[in-house]
Amino acid sequence: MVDYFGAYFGALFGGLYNILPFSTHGEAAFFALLLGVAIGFAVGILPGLGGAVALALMLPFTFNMEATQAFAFLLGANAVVATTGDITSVLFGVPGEGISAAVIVDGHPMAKRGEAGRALGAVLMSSLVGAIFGALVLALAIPIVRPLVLALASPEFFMLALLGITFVATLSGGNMIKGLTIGAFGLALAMIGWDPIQGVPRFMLESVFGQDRTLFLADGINFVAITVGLFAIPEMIDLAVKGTGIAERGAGKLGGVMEGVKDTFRHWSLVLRCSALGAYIGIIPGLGGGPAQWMAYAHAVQSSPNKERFGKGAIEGVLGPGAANNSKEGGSLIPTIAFGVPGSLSMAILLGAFIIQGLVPGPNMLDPHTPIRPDMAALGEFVPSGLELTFSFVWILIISNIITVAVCFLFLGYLARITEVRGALIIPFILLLVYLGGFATKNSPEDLILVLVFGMIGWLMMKYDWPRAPLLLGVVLGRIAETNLFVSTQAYGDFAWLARPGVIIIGLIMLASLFYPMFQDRRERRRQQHLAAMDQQPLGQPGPADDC
Amino acid sequence: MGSLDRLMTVRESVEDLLKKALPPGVADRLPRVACALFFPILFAWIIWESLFGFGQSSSRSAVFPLAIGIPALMLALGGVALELRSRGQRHENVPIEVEPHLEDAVTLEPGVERRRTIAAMAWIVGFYLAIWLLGFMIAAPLITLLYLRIAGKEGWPIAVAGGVFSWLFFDGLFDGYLHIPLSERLDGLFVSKIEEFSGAAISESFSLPATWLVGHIMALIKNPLYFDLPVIVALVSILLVRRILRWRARMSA
Repeated sequence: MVDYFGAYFGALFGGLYNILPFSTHGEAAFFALLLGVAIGFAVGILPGLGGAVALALMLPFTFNMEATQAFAFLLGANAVVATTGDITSVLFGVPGEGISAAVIVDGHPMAKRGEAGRALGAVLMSSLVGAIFGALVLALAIPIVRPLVLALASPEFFMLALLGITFVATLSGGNMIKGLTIGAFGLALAMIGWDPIQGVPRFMLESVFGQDRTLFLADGINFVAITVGLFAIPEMIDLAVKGTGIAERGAGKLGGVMEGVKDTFRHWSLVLRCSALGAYIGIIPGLGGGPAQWMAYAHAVQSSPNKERFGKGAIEGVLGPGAANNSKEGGSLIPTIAFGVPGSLSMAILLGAFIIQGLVPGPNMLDPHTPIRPDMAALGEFVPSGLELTFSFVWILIISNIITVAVCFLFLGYLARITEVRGALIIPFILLLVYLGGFATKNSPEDLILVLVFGMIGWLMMKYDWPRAPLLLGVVLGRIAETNLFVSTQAYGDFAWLARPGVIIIGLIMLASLFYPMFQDRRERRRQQHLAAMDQQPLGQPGPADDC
Repeated sequence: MGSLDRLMTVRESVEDLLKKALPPGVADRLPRVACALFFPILFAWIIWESLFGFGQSSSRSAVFPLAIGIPALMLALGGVALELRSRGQRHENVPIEVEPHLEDAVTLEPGVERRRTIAAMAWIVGFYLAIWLLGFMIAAPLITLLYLRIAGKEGWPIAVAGGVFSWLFFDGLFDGYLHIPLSERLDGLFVSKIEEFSGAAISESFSLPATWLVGHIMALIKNPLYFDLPVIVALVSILLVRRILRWRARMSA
């Protein structure tokens, strides 16, 4: 036992030493990390381009790199994309990448209110806390990860997806029917294309538009095109109508940034809870970053006593998703390293880097003694042990986020002032970026029409008070839910899977999350009626409460 | 009378007619109810397709759409009932107050708001049409220039500067440097027909200088000691533009 912990801590510090510029290989890894961070910074800020796109573009450059250097380069970029994507979400209401959409819901209204500095300070600091939390989870989970992941099977994954969908009711600002309808609309959109089980084309409208013109929908509707259309286009219309800058009341003073940082620590419990939620969702293979952010947002709404502030610029609505968005990176590395099961699309691409480096994910990566490439070690080259490399991942996540957040804070004042620039000067560039973002994910020109259509739908939804957030959650979770439902019925029988304890527990949580807001509403209404009745009573006469 | 004004007049007279024909309050709620009605129609179509469309060839593929479609149809009908019962918040009649804390606060009249909304939507569609017809490479700088000049009411120097920035950023950086296939996949219907007819590579010739310039800028970023003729030209141009802008500011002061 003592031996194991000795090796564990030895690898922990070895992992850090290998990515710091104190040795020749450390120097190379450190500069690769800086380069990766710079690329991730740029990719995160550009709307529509996400971590997966960045990793896919960077992967070919790692062929000639040593393992630690290659992962410093790739993970450094992937870790900061999530952080900088939030900047675009807050400032322009355009998600830097698909998964940063939850931050828009409250972050952008804050920017419009002139609190861009505060929102950015909050989202960056919570992102940093989340990233460190996620990295620590990765470090601590290594000895206990196996039973945790093996406890879940497809029925639980299906129920978790449904749990996410029931959260939409909370996301819809009190109107549960509208929220659930829009969530179902999102699920319906996720059904478009060849179905994931039998490859049957569904809802592609081939009979109306022809087979050639609808082929771009075959592998599913483009999530980024929907997101940028739904959120960015209505914002641009709003900006053009008002004729002001993004911040209708000025960007506010730089002091707002520190206020945002303080908010992170004021709501430390929420930030930690959302970080834990993000890390856990990250561990579950296939759920990815989108659900992590939205569930954190839903949790922030549910746990707040003033739900009506959400969607109008509530700081908790920025802190929760910001923390979860980054902590899920550490979480999603766990199944990737331990079982070779990627937690998200980015992690699937990262698995490609394992293959390029000649590494096999699994027990080797948790071994503190054996070099990961014995053949290279025999040639006298520097080769870390599996556990050392795994701990290097932990440190890469922490260091890259510290560097990014520090750089962001240096220029935050300037970033926040972008919101003061006249709308007319920004609109053409953002519109072009919106169309480019919709196109760049799949390089499909038809997706531009999707951007336009969902832009108009988004505007109508905004005008007639239909919540937009549940739609995205439905699209994100649709395919996951359908695939897991199929696997559950096939593996456990049509209804037998419903008797699994995990399914029952998640089902009960789901019911509670559906009915608790109703119960809370009714209690609040009764309390208000009671108070009104008390106010109407003349002084000196007993009120309804005094009868008891 | 402009076409936008004519459109507004037609819309207003239709609204008046509806208000007279329908019971009080119903006309105001009409757009909201119409918006809510979209969802039951959509879910009914999903159920229909699952039962009588693709579902007939593969019942497995229809399980999930039916499982979602049926309860969603109930919910959507509930949403319509909710809209019919609600009093309807008449956003369009509430003037928008812009920058209320400032002394020169602007209040938008409903008519102005409506006109600006239609104009903004027309520009958004216009951006798409420009990309579709001319291709992203030509449309990006051109539409930026036009938007800044016409909708933004900016002067020519700013409009041209915006167009040039757009040209460098999209044509040079994305297409030329990052190789996002804008010129191949978004080549524009109209321009590709001319290219086909004349044999000239219009989009490519248009973006080539931008790619060349951005290539030099990126080389300078990678190596600060990189210094050659294009860099000198770029630096001199920046200094000249700054001098012109300062001169303009002095003149206007």
